[in-house]
Amino acid sequence: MKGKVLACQTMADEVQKVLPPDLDLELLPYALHRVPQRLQSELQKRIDADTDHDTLLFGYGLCSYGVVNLCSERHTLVIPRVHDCISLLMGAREIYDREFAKHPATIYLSKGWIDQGAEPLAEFKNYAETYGNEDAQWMIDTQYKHYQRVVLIDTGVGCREELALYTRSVARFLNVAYDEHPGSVRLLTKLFRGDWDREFVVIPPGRMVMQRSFL
Amino acid sequence: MSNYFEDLAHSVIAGQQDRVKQLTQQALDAGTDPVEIINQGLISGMNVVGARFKVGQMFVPEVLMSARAMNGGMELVKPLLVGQELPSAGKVVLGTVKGDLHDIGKNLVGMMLESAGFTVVNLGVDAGPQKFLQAIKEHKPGVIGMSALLTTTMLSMKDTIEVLKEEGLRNKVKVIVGGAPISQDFADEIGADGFAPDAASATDLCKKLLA
Repeated sequence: MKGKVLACQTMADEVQKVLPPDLDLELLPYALHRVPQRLQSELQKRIDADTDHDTLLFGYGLCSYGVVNLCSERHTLVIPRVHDCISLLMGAREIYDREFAKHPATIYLSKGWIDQGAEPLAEFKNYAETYGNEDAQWMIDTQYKHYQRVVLIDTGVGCREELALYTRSVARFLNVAYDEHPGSVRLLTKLFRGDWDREFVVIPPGRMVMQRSFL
Repeated sequence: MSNYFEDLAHSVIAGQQDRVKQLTQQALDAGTDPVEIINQGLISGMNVVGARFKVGQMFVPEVLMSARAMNGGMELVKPLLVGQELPSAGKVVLGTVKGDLHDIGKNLVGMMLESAGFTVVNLGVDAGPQKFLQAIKEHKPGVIGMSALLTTTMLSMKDTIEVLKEEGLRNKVKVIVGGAPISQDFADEIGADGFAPDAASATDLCKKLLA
């Protein structure tokens, strides 16, 4: 196998922690999933541009509509059968599904999410620069009013104390509960090792990724 | 007058609530038909916002500002519509599906539908099949609209449709779906009557389905 990993910047540290030397890596910018069709077209562009590998491994899940209808004539595409990076960071789809059923109103953070400023506190500061404190607060309230917890997924990358401290400050800012959840690089490790069982969607050359495979 | 409507639409797009209110009041004072103000100014501005949001040219904070600006105008116009006793364009029950708490897009759809003359019953977030079922029995809408942002929750749309079939209500109401991970393919797969990629399309879809 001549393989390459396409992964979201949000998971850069976790991916690099377990990436074997024989796999190439390309990181894509964070937050493309917010316009799912854009994530999809960016991934398809990377697939079409690659002529050096026969297998592409995705540091993505379904990610809204991000991997839907991806296809390649020359590569096997391998995607963890998960909704998004939260499952990847927790180590298994079942763990996230279980947590989601128990506590749907949860914002999950990890080192990558914090580094990218992809959380309410950083967003508030960002909004406030343009709109002032009052409107920024109103926007955050409107966006996050239904959430009840902020949870740090600790995957063992970065300084745990600092990440916990910062995540606590995000919870305090929203006036909701703080909690921690152990993370795991188990799924990423399986992906890179070629251990592709039912936890992965494997698409041979000429076939197309379907959304229903992930639901 | 066309310049005036353009100005109003642009102020909605720019999220300038004060300006929208000012222009709306000016038009009302000059005797402009309130329905014209809504359709040609407020809605036409918001149509652009919805479409730009969908393709990533506008983001949540800007959309919220635009929605608030439009609301500011609507509040001035609405009291004048009451007296006219316009017939409702139809009744729509809207909700974000079970387990999903994201309502910015869905509320935008609700606002656009109301502005277009629909009666909207908004079930809020985390609305499971039973909640939709109950609302259909109680309000007898022409359309129900289900929204989801998460792929973990989108199958709840299918559950609702199945429950409607079991209850013998499926052919009494049109079902439309929307949200970031939703596509026409998905809508077809679960047996919905329609899919709308953005708020303006949702209004057009309801008009078409109830025509």
